[in-house]
Parts: sequence; structure tokens; C-alpha cells
Amino acid sequence: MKKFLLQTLLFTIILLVMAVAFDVLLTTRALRLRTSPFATWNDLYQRNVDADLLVMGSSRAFVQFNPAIIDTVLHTSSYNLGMNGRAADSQILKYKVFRHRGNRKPKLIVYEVSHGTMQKSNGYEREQFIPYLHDPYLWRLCHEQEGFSFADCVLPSWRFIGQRSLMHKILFPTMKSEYDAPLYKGFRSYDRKWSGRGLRQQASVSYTHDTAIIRQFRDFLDECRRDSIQVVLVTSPFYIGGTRKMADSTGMHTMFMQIANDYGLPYLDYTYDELSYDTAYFYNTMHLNKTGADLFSRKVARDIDSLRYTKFQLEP
Amino acid sequence: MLFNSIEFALFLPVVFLLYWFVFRRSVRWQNLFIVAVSYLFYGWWDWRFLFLIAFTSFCSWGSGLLIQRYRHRPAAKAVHILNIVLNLAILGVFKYYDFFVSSFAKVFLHGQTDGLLLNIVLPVGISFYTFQALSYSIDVYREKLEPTHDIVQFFAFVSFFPQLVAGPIERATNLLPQFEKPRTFDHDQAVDGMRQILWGLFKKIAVADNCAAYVDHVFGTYTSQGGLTLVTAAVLFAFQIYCDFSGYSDIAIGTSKLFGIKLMRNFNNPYFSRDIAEFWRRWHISLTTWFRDYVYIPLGGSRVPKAKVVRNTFVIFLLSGFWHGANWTFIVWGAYHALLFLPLILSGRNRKYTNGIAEGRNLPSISEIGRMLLTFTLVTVGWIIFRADSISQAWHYIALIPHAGSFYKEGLFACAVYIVLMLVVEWIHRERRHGFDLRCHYAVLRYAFYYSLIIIMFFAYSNSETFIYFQF
Repeated sequence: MKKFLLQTLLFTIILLVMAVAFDVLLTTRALRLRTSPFATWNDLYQRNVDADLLVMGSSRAFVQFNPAIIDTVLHTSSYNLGMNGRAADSQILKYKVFRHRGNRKPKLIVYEVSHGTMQKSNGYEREQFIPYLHDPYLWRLCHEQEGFSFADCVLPSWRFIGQRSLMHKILFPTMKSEYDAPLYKGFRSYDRKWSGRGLRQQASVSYTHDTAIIRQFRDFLDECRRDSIQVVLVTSPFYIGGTRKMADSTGMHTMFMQIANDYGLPYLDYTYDELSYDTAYFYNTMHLNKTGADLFSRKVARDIDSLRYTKFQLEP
Repeated sequence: MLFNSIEFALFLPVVFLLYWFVFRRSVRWQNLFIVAVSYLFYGWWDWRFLFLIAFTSFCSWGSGLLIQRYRHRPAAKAVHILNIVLNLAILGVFKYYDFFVSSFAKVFLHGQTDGLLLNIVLPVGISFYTFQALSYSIDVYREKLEPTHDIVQFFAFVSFFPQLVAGPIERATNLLPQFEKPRTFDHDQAVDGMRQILWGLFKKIAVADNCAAYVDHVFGTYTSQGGLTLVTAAVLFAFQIYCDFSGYSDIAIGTSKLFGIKLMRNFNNPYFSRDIAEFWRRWHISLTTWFRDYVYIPLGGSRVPKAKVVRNTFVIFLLSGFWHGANWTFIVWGAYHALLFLPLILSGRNRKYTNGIAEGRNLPSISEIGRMLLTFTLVTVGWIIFRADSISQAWHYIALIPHAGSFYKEGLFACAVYIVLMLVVEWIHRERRHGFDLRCHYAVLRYAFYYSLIIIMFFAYSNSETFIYFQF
């Protein structure tokens, strides 16, 4: 028995050493990634986000709010925390981690709100959390939402089990496609032409909401108020053909206006902006291309600038 | 609690240490401990069904004692029949009631089942432990076994956690005596058990679960797939179900070895079989021999007129199919195998291949390869029926095979690599106690192989799937 236990112990220790070594290798290499979705996580984990203005939201924030242009117009420092395919629950989770890691408190949050904001996130790009799950704070926040187990947090390498695509991205980062292009302050634009994708599948794009997510969003706004962080709600351009086909888009705008009124926030709605009528600015119904994103970023920055001296009491 | 879960990885060492260090002084305490942890293991899934196992165990244990008390009197037979009826009634209600009602309604009530279905959740492993408990009372009735007066011992026999939910379906004559005598720790047996657990995990995690992803996708979209994809999915399902079920059996048998208990072999390289009869001697051995001993032979077996041989063959294959679940697909699958088996048994060639495969040689001969491929092909056609949701879907699937179309390749390469590795290892060990009975004298090589398997599993792990045979 003694021999068996010793053999088993030795076997386990060697396995553990291998697991720790592999975990360290993957984690350290993951922290160097400059591609989406890891670049923003790395920035906020390494406290590299030094911004007065934060952009939050889904992919419609991620690819449409160019910090370089916003910085130029507003003479400030901004950062884009937009999350591909994610709703307010994940977006707020990311913001919490951002604050918990000791990044500077922003003065203004520009929150992009649209048809998917108040839904529950569906696990899209779930792998983005994995390299950082050794952080108990992140794990606590996302274990229920994303289904991570306690072992993912405490056992070395456990969280990487079966994550072939993630490990490949970490160990062999490539720059082959525009998906792999490094982000600039959390932002990336797509230099593409209109594909019509989304418009053909418009029946699947509809506004729905989850009351728990709305409550979470309101709690977030309360927290911002307590922390004296100003918030602007923005609905960015949506190709008009898509808006016309979207079920209950009026209900969506009414709800965002209601929330803005309840909290005394400005709500900038670009749904019927002139950009929304021209496919030259979009690569699909929901997303502006590079040209559109740059034009829109300039426009929204100017509009925020005009609000700055009326609604806001920010120091110049 | 799944064998491939973190809960089990914590459960097993704790139970092992307590079993050998705290409860080793008394067999009775050890057995009591086994019952407690087995009930914990089972209750982890759904504690309400613990009452069902306890009831089944108590009835079979009590019937054994009553049969002995009224030996050679009509009351013994009555108790025996009552116990069988009771066990099968429980199985029937939980597993088959809805099937019978919906089949009846389809024929006589135009499919109207409003208020008739019970929609009961199928208790995991009910077919396994019911058959195990039945084997005890039948053996006692046949005077092949003395009944046990020790209820704890009997409960340990029925609920022994490694094989509780998916077998092997142990015979009381093999397992019960092991709970009677003190167990001594055997180092070589424990090491071999660990090795078998590792191999079982590899088969489940690397082969079965990866094949499952491909198979589920293709069976879910089979109408839009090309013929080659359909054939590939059928072949992968053959490996999925083998590695899933034999992987579970390997883990169960290996785990039992850690506790000083030897379970029967459940699979013996079935895909190396040279005909269908040999396949059935190598596939799910514990169930096949159960039906042979308790159904086929009492019916007269093959030593009866040919018409009765046909009947007996159909009876055991249909029962075997029906045992798997309440669906016509399983019954047709059983009938299909009966049709394949009949020519062999009627011509007296069903025991042609009782020797080892390629005995004394490294590689099989060309004719052996041909026979193995033919048998595998026939078995795989059967798996299409088994895997389909309905008979019509199975027919439709097979009918679409000759059609050309695009080839679905997602995940196929990895599956092929894992399958080849598994086949090579099992071929090398085909004449040994199990598929990974490694006897390399160089410890470094042995350990290198163990770690390699773990690393492969690390990368190969996909979504943890439950074991297919849990549903039976």
C-alpha cells in the first residue's frame, strides 16, 4: 500500500508540475496578445487603461467608436471596452474588473445601447475569460454566467483543457486576417464594403429584453452616479433597411429614453442619422465600416463636446 | 456523478483512503461503507431514486431468504416468480410504460395520449441493477448459490458504485462472495486498475466525445449531407459507442480493482471479430451472457429443433434490443442482428471463431482482415438503426448514402488519429486482460506513455458528454 501511495503521489506531483509550467506558459503568453478579444483584457489587467472617457457596449461599440478620433475632437484620453457579441451583463462585468484592477476611474462613460444590450449574453467568445480565470475576482463574477467551475480558478491548466483554438491563438498568434489585427485602445474598424448580411436574415434581429439585465444596467447607472461618473447613452447608426424590418424598434428607443430620463442622462440616438441611409458606410446592417466608423466617431465626439458645456459639469 | 468529472476525481481518492485505512479491520464495516458511498454516488444524480434501488435490493434479498426457507415447496416458486414480476414491473413502469402507452395510442387511439403518459424520468442504471438483482434470486432458486443472510453484503453487491449505473452486470456467483471475505490490498492489481482507468478515460474523452461532436452534427443534419459524410458518421458512431461504453467498463473495472474487487470483463475487442457470432461473444459480454444463461438456455438454446432455435435466437436478440430502451429502433436493431446471427447458428458455424485473433502473429491475414471489415460493416449498419431517432429516419439515412454531396470534415482528422491510436494499442494487447494491459519492463517508457495519454486527453477534451449507456 505504501508503495502504491508513493507511486501515485509521485505521479500526481509530476503531473502537477507539468500543469503549473504549462499554465504559466499560456498565461504569460496570453498577457502579451494584442488581438481581440484579449488586448483589452490585457490592458485592463496590466492597468494600461488611463482614460477619462470609456466607451462601453457590444460590437457596435467595439467597431464604431474610434478612440483616436474621439481623443482629437475632445482633447481627452479615451478607451474602447466594447465586447463582440455580448450584452450589458458581460459589458458591466468587464467594467467591474476594469475598476477592480485599479485602473483610473473615468470621468465619462459613453454607453452604446441597442437591440441586444438588454438580453442575456449567450456565451459568444467565452474563451476570452479563460486566460484570466486564475483571478478569483473575475471567476466570482463570471462563474455562474459563463459556467466556469471552481477548478477553473484553482487548478493549474484546468481552465485550458480542450481549448485547442484558444491555445493555438496564444501559442501561435498570427496576423493573417483583419480579425488578427492589433487593437488601438480597444478599437478595431473593418475596411469592408456592404455585404447585405444581416438584412437578409433580419427576422432574427429583433429587440428583446430581460428584466434581470435591465435591473443590472440600472444598478450600474446607480454605481456611476455614486462614483460621480457621467454617462451618455448612444444608439449608433443602424442601416435603415434593417431598422425598418426590426420588430419593435420603437419599444427599444422608448425604453432607452425612459432610462435616460430616470437618471437624467443624455440619450443620443443616431438611428435616423444621415449615415444610416447609405450602405457605403456599413459592412452589414448593424456595423459601420471604417469610413462610417470614422465619420460617426467624429460626429458623436462633437455632439458629446457640445453636451459637455451644457449638461455636464466636467472641468474643461 | 460522472467518472469523467472533477467530483469523481475528488470522490475516488477520499473513498479509497477511508476504505483501506479506516474501515479495513472489519468486512462488515467495509461493506457498510461501500453501501454508503455507493448511495452517495448514485444520489448525487437524483437522491429520490435511492429508494428504488433500496426497494429492489430488499425485495431480491428477501426473496432469496424466502426461497431457501420454502425450498422444494410451491411457495418457493411463487416467491421467485413474484420477485421477478415485481422487478420487471418496476423496470416496465419506469422505462417502458410511456412507450407501450404511446404505441397503443398510435394504433388504437389515433395517437391521442392526453392524460395517459406518466413522463417519468428514467432512473439512471435501472436496467443494470435490476438485472443484477434478478440474477441473484434466479441463481438462489436454481440452487446455484446460497442466499446471503447479510443484508449489508447484499446491498453492497447491488449498489457497488463502480458498476452501479452502467455495468458490467455482475453475477451474484462472482461478486457476492467477494463481499463475504476480507479484502487484501494487492499492489499489482491496484496499479493495473489505475492503468485501466486511464485507458477508459482516454477512450471516453479522446475518442468517444470527439466522435460524438461529428456524429451529432451529421445525424442532426443528415438530409443535407453527402453520402460519404453519412458513411463516415456511421463509422464514427460505431467507435463512439464502443469507446463510450467500453471506456466506462474499463473505468468501472479499474476502480473496482482499487478496492480489491474483480469484476467480469465486459468487452473483448469486438471490432476485431471475424463474424457476428464472435462479435456477440465480445460485445457487452455481461449482458449477452445474462440473456444466454437466464433466457436462451432455459428456452432450450440451440439443442432444440431448428424452428425453436430460430424462435430462441429472435427472443434473445429482440429482448436484448428492447433492454436498451423504449424505442422501436432498438427492437429493429435486435431483429437485424438476429437475422445476421441465424445463418451462422443454423449452419452450426456460430462457434467457428472461438480462438484468439491472429494468434501468435503480429498482424492478421488478408482473409482475417476481410472478415473483420465485413463484420464491422454489418455491425455499423446496425448502429445506424440504433442511433436514429426512428425507424423511418434510419431508412432515410441509409437511403441517402448513395447520394453525392459535399464532405463534412470538421474534427474528422483528430477523430481519425485517436481511433487509430486506440485500435493499435488494443490490437497489441488483444490477448491480454484488457486493452491497456501494458507490460513494458522499462518504467520510463511506461510512464511516458501514461503522461502522453493525459496530454492527449488535455488537448482532445471537448464538451463533457454523459455516457451513452446511462440512458439504458
